[in-house]
Amino acid sequence: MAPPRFSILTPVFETPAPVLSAMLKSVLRQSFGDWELCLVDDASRSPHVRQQLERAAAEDQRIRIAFREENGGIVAASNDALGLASGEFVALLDHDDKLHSDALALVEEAIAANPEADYLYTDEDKIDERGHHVGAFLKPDWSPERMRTQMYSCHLSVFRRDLVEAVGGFDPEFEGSQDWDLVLRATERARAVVHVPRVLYHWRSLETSTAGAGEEAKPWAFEAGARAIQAHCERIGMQAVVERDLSDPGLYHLQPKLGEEPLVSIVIPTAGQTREIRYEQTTLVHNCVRSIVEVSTYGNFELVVVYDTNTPGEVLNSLQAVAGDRLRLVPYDRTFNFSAKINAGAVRSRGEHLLLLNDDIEVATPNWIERMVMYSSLEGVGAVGGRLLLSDGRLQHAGVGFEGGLPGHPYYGFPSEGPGYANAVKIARNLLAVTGACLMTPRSLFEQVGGLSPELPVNYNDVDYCLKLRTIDQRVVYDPDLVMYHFESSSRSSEVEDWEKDYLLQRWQGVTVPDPYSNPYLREGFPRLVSPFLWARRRPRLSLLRRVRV
Amino acid sequence: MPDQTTSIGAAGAEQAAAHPDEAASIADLQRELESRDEEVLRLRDLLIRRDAELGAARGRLAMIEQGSQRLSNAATRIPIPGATRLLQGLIRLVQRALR
Repeated sequence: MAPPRFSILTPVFETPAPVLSAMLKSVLRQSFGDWELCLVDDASRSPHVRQQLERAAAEDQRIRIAFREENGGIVAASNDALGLASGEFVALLDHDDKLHSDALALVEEAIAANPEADYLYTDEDKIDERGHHVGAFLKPDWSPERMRTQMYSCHLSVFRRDLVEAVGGFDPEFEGSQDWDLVLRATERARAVVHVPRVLYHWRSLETSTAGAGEEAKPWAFEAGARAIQAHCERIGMQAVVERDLSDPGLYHLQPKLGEEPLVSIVIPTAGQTREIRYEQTTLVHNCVRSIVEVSTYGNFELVVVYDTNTPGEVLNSLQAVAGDRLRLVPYDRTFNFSAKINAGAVRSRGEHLLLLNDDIEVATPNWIERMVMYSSLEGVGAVGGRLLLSDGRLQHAGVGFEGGLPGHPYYGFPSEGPGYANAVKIARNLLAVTGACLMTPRSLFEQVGGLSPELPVNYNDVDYCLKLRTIDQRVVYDPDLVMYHFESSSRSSEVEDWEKDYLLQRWQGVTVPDPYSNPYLREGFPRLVSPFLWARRRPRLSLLRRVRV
Repeated sequence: MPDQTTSIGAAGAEQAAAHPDEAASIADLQRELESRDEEVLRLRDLLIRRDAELGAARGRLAMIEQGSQRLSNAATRIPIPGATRLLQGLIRLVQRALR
């Protein structure tokens, strides 16, 4: 198959001469030759813009130019540039930014490896006012949930042109966030989305650009972002309302707006243990159930408590007193096996969604069940987890990450409000797994994959469950706005046995190495400090390119 | 604690009925117990707040420690004679200062 032609779409408006020149040079220096640059000037008043564009077009026939008579804004100019395009793929390049010289070559390699790729994106960095490359954004593979809370794919974005035209091109209703809207609309239909894990786009941080000045530069762009996400949610049937983050203008949150409340079965395994929590002797399961009953705003749930038969009778009585008719007690008289206890509870429950909950959890977010149902009801979502905090407020869980095939909790022990790398703690996103200490899953999927694996009685059964969901093309979601306290490892040792590690590696190494929701240049959630040298010297191995079905 | 207060309260009521002269001192005792209960709760809340403050500080420390660990790891990879030792020495100084 012949390599595709790339049409680079670049709307131009009042671009400073040296900046425009640098952009043009970065395209002319591409190591891949079959491209065309579609430049549309949006009625710039400065004469140098027309002169530079005309000179560039005269010097290289691959540069196509058009001049708008009236200023129409970035959407109009982008659509005009799309009209000039003849390539199989279109790449978006802003007039003040630069491409890495191998950008198109590496994207072309990715397309060759993934012929169904309809949308591709790369990593990016910024160029500060002194010309230094800073703030590399090393991205995860395709993460639809993240895309609804942060425009993370951003630059460089490359679309199959047919698809862009089929969805109607750039929509003027979302001026300022037209690229985000386009990504959302295109990926709703794309056969495959591919991430190229290399910094191939350099975003210039000017006072007038969003990269440099944030909301002050283009306040309307952030409002348009909220509207684009809302429109997307409505198209895909997601029962949510979009809200902007109070402190970071580029981040958004989804609030549940459920049309109905399906029955949720909260399955809590317990041995009725007691320990000191906040300077008071506390029966864990009682505290957990009390917090659910007192805090939750969701109406339709049942509590299925799977208790060891030596659990004191007064503990069970206290649960009955707190939970009343919602409570279903399931005795368990075998040797401890977390998976078997959860499975036993699931069998005795009736809910459309199962919510696995440790007894050392305390609910803090009133609409926590609504939040989980919002995601769990979405097609393609297999499991949902939240942000768990230790009793002193530090972060216990913001999703599970994998290093060398073994799971861990990135940002463990960090401040609860700490954003993590690229706001990973603050935004909804996809991961390979979330902790089973608080995990919602649709019952149908739980049954389809055979529930939790009893071969893993203590550790990794939650991770194994999430990875089983991935084999049936289901995503796992971390929701940062669902906050709970987790008085972890109150009951059992947290030591992981060697055989458990071997089991996990043997079974799932092919999926977890490398972790697709991390990045080859991230380690434990942060950039490896050697990566700038790697960017300069090396090309990524093709095995790092992953194809994601959507 | 509230259980203790309740039982003393019940016993106190019976005694007060039997010996009206002692009623005042029992009421004083009850008030004293209640105020001590309140003080215990206040101190407990204070401890919880202190724990949260300590947690925030420990969280920030964890971030700084991880950052310095990353720098330290990177330093070992820089192939400049002497630079690694110098950088590691600086990092050790920072780590010591943090403790």
